[in-house]
Amino acid sequence: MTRETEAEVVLRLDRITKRFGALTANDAVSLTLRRGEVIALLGENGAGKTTLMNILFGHYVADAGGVEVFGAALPAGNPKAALAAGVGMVHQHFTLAGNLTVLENITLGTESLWSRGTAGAREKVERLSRDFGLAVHPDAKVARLSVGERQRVEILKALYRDARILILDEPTAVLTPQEAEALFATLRKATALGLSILFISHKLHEVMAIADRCVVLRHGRVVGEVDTHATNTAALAALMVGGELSLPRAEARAAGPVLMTLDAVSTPDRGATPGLKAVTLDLRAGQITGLAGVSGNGQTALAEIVGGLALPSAGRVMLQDTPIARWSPGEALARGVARVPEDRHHQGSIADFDLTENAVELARRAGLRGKDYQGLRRPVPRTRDAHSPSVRREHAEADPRPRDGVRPAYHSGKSAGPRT
Amino acid sequence: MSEVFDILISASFWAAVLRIASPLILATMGELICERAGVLNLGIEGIMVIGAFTGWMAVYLGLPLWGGVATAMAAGMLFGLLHSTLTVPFGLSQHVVGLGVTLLATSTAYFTYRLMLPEVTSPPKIEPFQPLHIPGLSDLPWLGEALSQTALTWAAFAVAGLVAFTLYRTPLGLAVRAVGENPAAVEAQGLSVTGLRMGAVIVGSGLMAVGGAFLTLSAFSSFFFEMVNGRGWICVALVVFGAWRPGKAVLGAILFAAFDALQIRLQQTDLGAVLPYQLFLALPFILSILALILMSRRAEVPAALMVPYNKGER
Repeated sequence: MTRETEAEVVLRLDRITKRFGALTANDAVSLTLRRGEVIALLGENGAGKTTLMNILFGHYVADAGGVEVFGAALPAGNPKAALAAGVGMVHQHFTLAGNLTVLENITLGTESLWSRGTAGAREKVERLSRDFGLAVHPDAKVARLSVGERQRVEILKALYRDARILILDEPTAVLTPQEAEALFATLRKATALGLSILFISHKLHEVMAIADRCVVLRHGRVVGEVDTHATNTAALAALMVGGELSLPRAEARAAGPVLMTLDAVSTPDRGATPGLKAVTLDLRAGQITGLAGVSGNGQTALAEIVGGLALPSAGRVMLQDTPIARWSPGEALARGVARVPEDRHHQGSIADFDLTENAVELARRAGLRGKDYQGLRRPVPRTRDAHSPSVRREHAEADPRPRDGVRPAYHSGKSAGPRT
Repeated sequence: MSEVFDILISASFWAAVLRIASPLILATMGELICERAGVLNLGIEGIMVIGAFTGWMAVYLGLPLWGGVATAMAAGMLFGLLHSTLTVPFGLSQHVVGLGVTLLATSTAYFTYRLMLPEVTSPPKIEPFQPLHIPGLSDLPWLGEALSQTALTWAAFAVAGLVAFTLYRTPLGLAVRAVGENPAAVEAQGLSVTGLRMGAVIVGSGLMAVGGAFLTLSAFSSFFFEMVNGRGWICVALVVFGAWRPGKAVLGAILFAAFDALQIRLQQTDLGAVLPYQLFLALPFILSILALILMSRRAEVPAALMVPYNKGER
């Protein structure tokens, strides 16, 4: 990792601004990336990191501002131009076709559609996977790969196109700690070979481990730019949320009675995702039970059983010592079990309904009737102008992100803000 | 049962199977290309009608037979352009647009036919494609008769080979398979989702129209109403039957054609005297549904089939 400040500037973002309706996702964001450098782009969910990267890569068009790669202006809204200029992006949600092989996914779009294909593509992929430590079989079907392997394919895609700038959007969110360590090794090899890296994250210890510089975004604005060796996680966290962070204190509390018991509960495997194997768990009143583990190790199955979406194939579920016979989402709601799903866009809410209608649907399932609904609805100003002061105020009031100067009592690292 | 066996080993039966399968193969390849790119083209039935009509009309008005094929293909591509404009950049419902295209194409063909020939009661005939004589091959005892086919039948099988080769051996085919699975992957690699999908629908529709033209230019020598008679819908099912693979889809077309050829011949046996003929007519469809159920259990459906792609939305 080169530290000299005179190194060639490879990427310059100049006052990028992007609005979605009343929300300003990026507000005059400027950023400079040099050769061989790793910059971490930090910020909470909804701070505007992904939007910025999508503008850089041409998926969105900025309302104002420009992108310069190796000194030349990059045309807006054109992924092909970004690729040609040497920008490679590893998306948070992988853009791979599952029905194709690794090699096919990598070569897709790199050769003329009317040609017979490039000779030597396989050799190049094999050489790159050796050089960068990205082990994956070129002929494996992508649909059968693990998440970590898919990410390697995404990185190989960028390297195959001779990318000089790698953008990684929350790359470690889906990885095991071992896989994340392997990714960092790959990134170090890449910078040693003169590549530059933009690393988007909100995991501070990773940023400290890999980045040379940190750029912190909050509410779409750059609120800080610091050298990693001159800062610490607490300072970065304070920059991210806009105030000192008081971590929640877990106070010892007398455990209440057992409300729900999972007794040796098992579920069948779902493809490559293992099911639960005789899981036993007590949920007590007045207690928060945390569940740790890398995603894809049975959390979904467990949540589904607790929330009434699935029945165990073996074992018992008991509510206050009564084994559950009939168990459905409606039954669960009626018995006081609520579930906030992982993917709120597709489960748990109907996007085309307004908030009242969503709440009524939930209440109906929970057994509320007639007059219980009174007071649920209050008039919402309807206006076509998303920039009107009243709508802006509504947005500001509904914004789940901590406001500047307000000290959040508790910060979970995941807020309910919109994915931007 | 020996009667059935005699039918199955006769060369004339297999000649009929290949003949009946040809329009199905052409149109199925067309539908397969569309669906592999992620667009369900229910315009197929009407596009086959317009292909049958325009191909026949061009020859009736004096063009050579291959000129008729080209005319049919161009007409099909025009309706493919209409279909894909509505379904790809505008992202309208592929079901509604497809059925709309079928209704429009069918009525346009019938209407134009009536305008051209207002007084005619028996449809005028043209001189259709004749079976090719292939030196050596045509003189073989059994095989010569079974393979006594027109140039369009040979072309149908060549098209199937070409589609399979393009899909699995060229960058273009790779891009088509990818865009039907995950358009975001295609866009991220700098290719145009809209261009690929529209191109696939236009080319696919051209093939469907040639499948229709087979009926007027090779199988029969005139155009009459209802002649396509649900073949387009059969092709939609054949794509599923073939699990979106050209080779399997060709096998499916041959299987269906075999049932069809068999039922006509069964009607003339002793069985035909006992059972109502409608039962024989229904036989290919019943057997196809059974085969479809058996075959499509483990099919890998293109993941983005019928999902319009909007840039910047995820």
